[in-house]
Amino acid sequence: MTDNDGLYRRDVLKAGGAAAALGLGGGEFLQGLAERGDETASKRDPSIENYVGQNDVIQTVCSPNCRGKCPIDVHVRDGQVKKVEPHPPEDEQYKRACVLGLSHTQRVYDPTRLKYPMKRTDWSPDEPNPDGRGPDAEFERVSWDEALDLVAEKMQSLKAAHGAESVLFHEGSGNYGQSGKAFNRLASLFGSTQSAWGIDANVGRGFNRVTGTGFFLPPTNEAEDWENANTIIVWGSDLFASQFQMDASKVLDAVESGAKLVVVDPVYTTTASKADLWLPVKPGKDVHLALAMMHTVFEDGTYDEQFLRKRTTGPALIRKDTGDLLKASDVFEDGGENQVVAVEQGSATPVELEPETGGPYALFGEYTVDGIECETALTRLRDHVADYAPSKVAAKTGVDAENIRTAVRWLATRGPGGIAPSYALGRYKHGHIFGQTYAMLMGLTGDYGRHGNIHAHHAGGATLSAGGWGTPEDADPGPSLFFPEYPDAILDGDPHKVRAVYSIESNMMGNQFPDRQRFREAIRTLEMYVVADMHHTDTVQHADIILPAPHWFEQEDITSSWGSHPHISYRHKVQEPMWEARDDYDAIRGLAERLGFGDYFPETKREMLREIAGRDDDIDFDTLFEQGTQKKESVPIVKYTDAFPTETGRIKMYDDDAPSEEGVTFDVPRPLEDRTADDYEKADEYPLMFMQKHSRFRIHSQYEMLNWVREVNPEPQLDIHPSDAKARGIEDGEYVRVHNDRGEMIVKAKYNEAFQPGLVNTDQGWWSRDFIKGHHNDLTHNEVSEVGQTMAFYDVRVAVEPAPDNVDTDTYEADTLRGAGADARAGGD
Amino acid sequence: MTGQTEPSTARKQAPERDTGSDGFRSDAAATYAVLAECWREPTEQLTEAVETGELAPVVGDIGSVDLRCLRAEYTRLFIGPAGPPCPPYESVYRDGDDPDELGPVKGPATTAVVRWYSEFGVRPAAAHSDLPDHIATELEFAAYLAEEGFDEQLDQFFEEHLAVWADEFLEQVETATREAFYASLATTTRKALSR
Repeated sequence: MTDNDGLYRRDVLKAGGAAAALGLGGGEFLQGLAERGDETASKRDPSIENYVGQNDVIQTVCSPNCRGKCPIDVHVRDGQVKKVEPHPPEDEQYKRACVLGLSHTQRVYDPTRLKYPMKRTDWSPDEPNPDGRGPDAEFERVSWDEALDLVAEKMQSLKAAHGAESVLFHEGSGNYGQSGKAFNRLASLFGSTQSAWGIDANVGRGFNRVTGTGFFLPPTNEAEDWENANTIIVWGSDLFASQFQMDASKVLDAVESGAKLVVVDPVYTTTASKADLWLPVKPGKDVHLALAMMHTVFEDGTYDEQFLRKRTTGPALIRKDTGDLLKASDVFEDGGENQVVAVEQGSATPVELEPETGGPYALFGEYTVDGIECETALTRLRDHVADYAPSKVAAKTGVDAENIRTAVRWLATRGPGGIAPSYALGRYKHGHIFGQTYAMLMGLTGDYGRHGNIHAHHAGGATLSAGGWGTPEDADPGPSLFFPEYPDAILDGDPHKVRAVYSIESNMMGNQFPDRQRFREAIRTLEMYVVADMHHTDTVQHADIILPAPHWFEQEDITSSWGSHPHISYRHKVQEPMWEARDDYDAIRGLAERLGFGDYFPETKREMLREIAGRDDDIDFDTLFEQGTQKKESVPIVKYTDAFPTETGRIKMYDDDAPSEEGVTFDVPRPLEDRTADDYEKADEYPLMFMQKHSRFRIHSQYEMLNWVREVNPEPQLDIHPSDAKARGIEDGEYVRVHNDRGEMIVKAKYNEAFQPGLVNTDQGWWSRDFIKGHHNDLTHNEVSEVGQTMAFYDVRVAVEPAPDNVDTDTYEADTLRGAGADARAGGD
Repeated sequence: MTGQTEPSTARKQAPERDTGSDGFRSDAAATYAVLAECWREPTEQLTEAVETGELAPVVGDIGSVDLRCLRAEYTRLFIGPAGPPCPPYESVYRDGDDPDELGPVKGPATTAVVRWYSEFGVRPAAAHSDLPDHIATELEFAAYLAEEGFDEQLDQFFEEHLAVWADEFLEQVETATREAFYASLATTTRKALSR
């Protein structure tokens, strides 16, 4: 082909006619390029302006929902993100960052990012063609105006025909900023249904019944105080692996200062391997174990008498006739109806219990007051736990009796310390009972309100107080739906029919929610599904309107550090959004304008941020903007120092107004199990418990597409104990079929002795394209406890067998392109 | 990573030629401009040009094309939301850590082409939301160089950019496409970029 002295060919085609037909004549062919118009730099001056390039360092903050909320410096050279480094916040002891955060240099330039607003080709507001959704859905590019016009039109017509609550605004946790508040504001004004959190709220709810605080994990002393702990019982958390950048160092500080570290976990985790004592509890037996610890405290007499008298209802009397607490109004003429009563030791004189007030109250015993037979709450509790002696629960819990005693003796006798549970306990259906149990156990040991107390595996951190910005005074907000309620609402109209969903910051409905096939079925019946995201997730594939969201570096925002460190951070924009990605705020504001609520939304996001920040007394917008981080001085380092927000101002050691479910009342902590129960009806059919733990390679389903991550974590696997595998004829590395009555998945088996026999695991956060077949959430279920209202991902049973011979594993075994970007299968179905 | 040399600063601008009937002074410019236009999102004008046979030199005789189908295919190949299987950007093929995986967008190669543009008095258009190392924009720049008579620099630009990555991209298109239009366009573009 060398026909031109090594020059490139110029004569391939006679394009004159084509050029004319395409309207390219007369030099009018520049589209992607424009003349610079500045003559000095034009072709008349051939000198190169700049060889070195412009370097900038921009302070911003990493913002997915790992809670780290790490302030970072982003190094930009010639407009290109080159490097990410940790930046110490105002209080430098909270310096942190992790390699996922550093890998934003790759993620921000991922070629598979969503680029333009799109519409499902066969969708229109009048003819939604829901059957067109799914793996074969076809999309076309539309302008932002077209996309927002279509969404607004459909929202209006649904509101007119079925009421505004037929539209659900669903917000996930993928982008920690203030756009969610604008989302809520628009939802409130429009009157749509709003989402209520149904994940990880179990343990906190149980804790709340005892202490009056907690929804997710309860408040705990800020991490800087953890080094004062003398005993830390980490319960169901692998924080040395999954929170290495933030909480792990604080626990290690405590260990270095002499603290005993106990890990309670069915898995021999990284954290367990560093512990002084590991209690390998069987799945679901945590309440039994905690009750056995209480038993030891009573037996040893190591409970904190002074604390129990001053800050708990331990000395309060229970009426034997009704089971209610004896009230001051039962005893004294002017006594309060909510005030509980104790008796003084020795004299047995009844006295009203005031908050935060000690006295010589009898902790144990039976007393008759005004002819009413009573016993103290602590007596009731002691008698209740008499059935849970360590020796008695050892076999059931899988934990050696002496180790149970040792662990709780450290907690009870070595000074301040605490129990640091994770959300994992709440992933059993009745996980709220564990919350109740350990809250009371720590009441016995007096571990509230002191330096060195720990109540959760992550600290409280700081949240920007925006007042009620999300709900303007003149709004008439619609109802809320807990996540687990979505399918019934969408499919059956229970409690009301949802016909359209607008989703931001979330890959939940298509990937992360349990019983995924039922959620899919629900999505398929919607009249409109609008999804804003940065990537082509499984959820996005099912959308009718796709709104491309920018990378965090392309949005200006204010990031709260809930669950992390006590700062608020300013997320400065590092670069402009690529392609036509647009901040959720702009989309929300654009919709608001079309729906007639434009006046409620400041024109620019910065104005909105200034307005919201102005509502927080600790924060000065300009200081925050300049400094990048500002410590919230009002955040207390030590928690629970004042009266508890319960009716009595005290920790409840007995609950006479307790909820009950499945015939069990939680006046005292009573174990109630679902599928972990040894006698569960399908235990023989599906003998293995199935958990999906968080790994250090994901923040939920984020980072799935990252090549750097896939190099070390290429495909989902089933962690299985060799004895369970061999019993089923499964070799290490062989593909297996994991199934139950809801669905199946095919993944590679990994012999892993860290998982006890009877328990298997697949790390959560994989997308369906990563599986040979199925998905981990095709196996999980959406049945929640009435009290906990929390999805029970770990309360799942499966059977495992070798994969069928005809299964196609070429994706992982053939020598083909690696990485998500190499695979354009639609939605990975 | 990209290893390009700096664009030559010693330019020899070819003498101006007469503007031909097609409005281009340079036949080569017309060729590249047409190819550039074909690699952009399909318009009605494009499908009409196919229908009337004016684009036969580029895509051969493929009969009639349906604009909707062509746009859907363009979206699937180059935009997404899934994949896309053929990202039309130079850096994706040149700036990866590993030859087996797709590289980033907006990589060093992107910076390098922007420098080329800047050197010759043009820049990415503000109203254009796509990346500057898009195949169509690079071809457009080639047309611009040809039209301005920078023949030597055009060869150098090919050498440093289009000739380095386009082949891999075009192969991906040929493998992935379900439309004759893009298969033929890929083949013709390869010919236009060869020595």
